[in-house]
Amino acid sequence: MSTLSATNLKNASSASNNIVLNSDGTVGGAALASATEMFGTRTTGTNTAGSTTLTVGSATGISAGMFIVGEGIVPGTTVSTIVGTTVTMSQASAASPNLGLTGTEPVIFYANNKLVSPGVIGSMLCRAWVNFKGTSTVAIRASYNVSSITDNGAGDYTVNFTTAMADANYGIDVSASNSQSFINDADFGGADPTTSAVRIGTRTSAATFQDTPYVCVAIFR
Amino acid sequence: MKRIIYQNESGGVSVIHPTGELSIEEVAAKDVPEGVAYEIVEDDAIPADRFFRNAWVMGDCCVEHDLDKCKALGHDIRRQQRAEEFAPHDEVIMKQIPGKDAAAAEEARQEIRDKYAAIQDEIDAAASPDEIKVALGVAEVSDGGQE
Repeated sequence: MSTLSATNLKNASSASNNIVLNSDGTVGGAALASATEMFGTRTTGTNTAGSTTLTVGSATGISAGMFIVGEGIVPGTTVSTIVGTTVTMSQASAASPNLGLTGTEPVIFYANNKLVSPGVIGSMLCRAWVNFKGTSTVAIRASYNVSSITDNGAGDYTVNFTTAMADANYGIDVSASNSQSFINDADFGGADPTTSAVRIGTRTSAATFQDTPYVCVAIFR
Repeated sequence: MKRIIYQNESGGVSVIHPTGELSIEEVAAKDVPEGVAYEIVEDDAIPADRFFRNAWVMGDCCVEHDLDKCKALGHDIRRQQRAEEFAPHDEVIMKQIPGKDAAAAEEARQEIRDKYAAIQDEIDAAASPDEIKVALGVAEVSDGGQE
């Protein structure tokens, strides 16, 4: 097997290096998405259902090929062309007729040709999540980076992480449902979160702990 | 499917349900509080009926119900049910609402007292958690609902 030795890779028509090959084996250059690019180019858009023409509030930062995200826009839709503030959208699927915003709505444009570095998206990721059944025989439906849940009592659970968090200053989203009544409160179970686990509770409107068929927990850091 | 059980800080039982990302032994080493004795059991050693979940205790072979705790939880539920039935009659008597018969409300309250006194006796005499549920009229309910 032969090895291509180079410092940079550049398209013949490009004014700058597309990919920089660092001496430590890592890559850099314009091909990597920046944090700003990860947030996308945000503006407003107006179109009518079924039409592939989108009129944007500002064309700055929008180019052909970018992905378009907005209410009523089929996922995977991209910019075919842009002339002034008029964007012609690709239709992700010919079988998806509901291509259209309802009035003027926020739209976000994302680059379709950038490499994503962990350093850029590190704090945007869900670090752990779990969906489990809290009634009858407790069962975990699906999870990520969760080694186990501990059933401490009615409506009282601990989510244990497989790989610990860097610290306990993470964001926690807890939601729960009950087929018979609303769960009024799904929250920390009265204990401070730790790097290795978080205790949560599901309660009725009377603040009584109660089991519930669906408990979902997500951790962001 | 195996589970890990241990006695928790409130004297009840905590049950660890592994996701499968780690072995049961690794989960036990990591997720059981330090210094706490635990057992690895099959899931059929754990009751499927969670109505008296907070009355679970560690038994010789499996998780069992503490009948006294079940009765205490049963009495809590009985008081809650009674309070809900009392509420509309309490309002008539406390507010002396014109056009409402306070004497009839008091009579209704006495019937409720008598009904729940009988339920109280049934709970006290119960020999199993199921008998307590029958006394409460909630035999079909299986999910934990008590604090």
